[in-house]
Amino acid sequence: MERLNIILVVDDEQVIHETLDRIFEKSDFTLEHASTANQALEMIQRGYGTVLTDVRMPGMDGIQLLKRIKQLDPSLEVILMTGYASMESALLATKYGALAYLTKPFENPEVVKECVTRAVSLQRDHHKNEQLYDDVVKGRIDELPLGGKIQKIPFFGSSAQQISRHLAETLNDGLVFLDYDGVVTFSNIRFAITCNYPFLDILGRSFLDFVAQEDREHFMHSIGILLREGRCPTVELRLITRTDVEVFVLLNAVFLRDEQNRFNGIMLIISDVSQFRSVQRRLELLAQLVDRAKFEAILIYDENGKIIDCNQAASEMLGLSKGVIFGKNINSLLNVNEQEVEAKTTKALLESYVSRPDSSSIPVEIAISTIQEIDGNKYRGLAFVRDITELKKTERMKNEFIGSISHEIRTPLSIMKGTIDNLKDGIMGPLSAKQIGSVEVLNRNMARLIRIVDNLLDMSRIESHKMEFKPCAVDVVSLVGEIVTECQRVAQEKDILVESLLPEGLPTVLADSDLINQVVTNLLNNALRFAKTKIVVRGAVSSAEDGNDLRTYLPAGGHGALKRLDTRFVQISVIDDGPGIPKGRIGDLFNKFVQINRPEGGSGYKGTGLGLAICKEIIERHHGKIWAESDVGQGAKFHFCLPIIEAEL
Amino acid sequence: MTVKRKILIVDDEPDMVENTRLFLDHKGHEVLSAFDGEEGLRIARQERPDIILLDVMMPKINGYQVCRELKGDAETKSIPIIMLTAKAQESDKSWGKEVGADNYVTKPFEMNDLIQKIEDLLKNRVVTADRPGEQFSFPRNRL
Repeated sequence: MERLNIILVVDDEQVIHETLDRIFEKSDFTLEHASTANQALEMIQRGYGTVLTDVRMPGMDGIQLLKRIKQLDPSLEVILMTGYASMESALLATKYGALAYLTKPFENPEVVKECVTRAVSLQRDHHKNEQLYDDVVKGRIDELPLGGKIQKIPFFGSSAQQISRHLAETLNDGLVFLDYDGVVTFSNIRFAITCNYPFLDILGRSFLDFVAQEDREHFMHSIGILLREGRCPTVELRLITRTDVEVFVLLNAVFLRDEQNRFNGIMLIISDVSQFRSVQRRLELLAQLVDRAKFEAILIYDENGKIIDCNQAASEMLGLSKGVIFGKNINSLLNVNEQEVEAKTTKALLESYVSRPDSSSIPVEIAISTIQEIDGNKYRGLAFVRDITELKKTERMKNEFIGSISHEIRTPLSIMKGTIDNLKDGIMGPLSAKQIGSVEVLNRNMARLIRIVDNLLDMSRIESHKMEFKPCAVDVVSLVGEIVTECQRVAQEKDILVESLLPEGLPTVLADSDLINQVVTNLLNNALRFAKTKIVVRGAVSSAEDGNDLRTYLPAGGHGALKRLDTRFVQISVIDDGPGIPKGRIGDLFNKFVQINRPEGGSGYKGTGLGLAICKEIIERHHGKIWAESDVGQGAKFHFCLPIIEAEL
Repeated sequence: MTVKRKILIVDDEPDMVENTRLFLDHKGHEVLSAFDGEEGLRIARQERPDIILLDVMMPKINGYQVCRELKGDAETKSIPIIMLTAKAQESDKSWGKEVGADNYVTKPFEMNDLIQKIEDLLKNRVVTADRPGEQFSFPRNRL
């Protein structure tokens, strides 16, 4: 029987041997059995098609056995078997070169058979390649299976001396010959460069002189293996250069034999890997830092959005082990959609939530970084996910506080307002001109106080998402038209001309008309405060390509039968000829509690610094955009856009 | 010219009641006041005012409950009720409608706005009073 059809089974439990015997009873394979790893190592010299080994065994365990086998014969495939299947140990196993991982008890004998067949066929391929190589070198083959003849290989036609010299001079690795005492008898130039010694100083020196103190024992051990077993695994060592610099190298040691096949020394092949080593060190350090990052969960995903790595914090936040997280889709795990992710990759943070297995959910803030592949289409990404439970809680408390305080303030305010109204209306008897003046001051400031409280209430409602939002198809142009008409009286009192350039027949938008009314009124009131002579109100259709970085998304499942069919917007602009706003401060305009002091104008009226912030919230709620253009002395232009939405039939 | 009406105002804020009373009194109306829901119910049943101004947030029985009581009672169901609400939220408006209120004003309100709403409701009442039968209905079960 061919040795490759014999499988070595290593397990301390007799029942597993019996089970496997039954599984392979009527197959091409024969089994040989070992009950410990050490026994297996002794048997391995006989040659096997593959090795099936238990992981947990007394004495040497399966992982150690796997490592030893891979050192002795890298081409021999090993299959691990274990009673407890965990992703971690499976990953560990593949890291050390196991071909596969089987869980006991074997539920499906076919899987076991398939696994073994594959392992043996890999081993067979390997043997075949070795055989073919030998045939070619020894000139036993000259016909090629794909047609043509094997060319004369330059090396094999020349003398051994020539080959050796050519190799020694061109090899990018250090080449060192040692005699039986470990003294260097030959070195190529590459090695002299690596260890920075004059060539002649290398010859005749013990090789141990070049090896870092700490690694000498390790080196001797490897040479020991070589002498005992005929070959030894690649070892990683530090060499010490003449200038005392450590150089990381990979070292391969082989026997040298003379024509009579007698031992003639050792040849070392030495590759300088310090460059890779330092990159690897940095990567390892970075990976450790990423893994230990406490406050942010970090997820790395490939071009298909499949998660390929994550840190400990991610595993804790999601309540899932890393093994379970790997392979999941980043978008579904973070409850975001692809468009959102794409749009936010540049700067802004994305708010979302993650669901945990205990069916609780955590509000999170996500920052995305992506690396574009060279072809430009696919990208890999990194998602930083931060738990914002506390932040949300504080925000909610703040909103509730503002809400309840505002409410408490309204009651005394209403009473005071009533009293002032009564005084003003002469209900408490006729007032003198001076008294009327005082009541006017009271009245004006009462109005201001009420406005502040109303704005605070609005803001807290919007931020706590308690704002009533009932969108329907709205002819925004006629809505704006009505508001413009309403403000004409006040404008005339101030000698300001309000020009309305609102074309008829613009498409309808999906909007809550009360809220849009609030926005337009606010913009017009602002304009009336600052305009010198003229205000222009404009309406137009604009498209996303018009610039202004308009990005809107269909609200996820939000508006029932209404569907966005158009990528265009209705744009409303309110333009005044007032003192304008310094360009650098435009960005602040829509922030809460910010008031830009515009030179001149605006006398007697003080805002709350909330008006535009409320406008922004309202417009964004509509998936629209609001922005301003201005500079000192150039008036101010305020624009907002609402997406055109048509009802789906 | 305005007809002299009997107006009941129910609010737990005495200053609020006083302001409104002064104003309505000045306009030539007779004003009754109550400072909580129970008292409001009692006076409404006793005095049969032409219209009731009813605050929402009151101790013991709130305005919605008072409104529901009065609107569920055949004796008082025809008296128009204006809710005085501090919140301008949609939910409050619809809840007011639910319990049968005829209109509402949001605090702080303009006195003139209030008197306008009062006049509108009483005008309507005259119209409906012209059509007997509308005023008649079988006593409904209390809600």
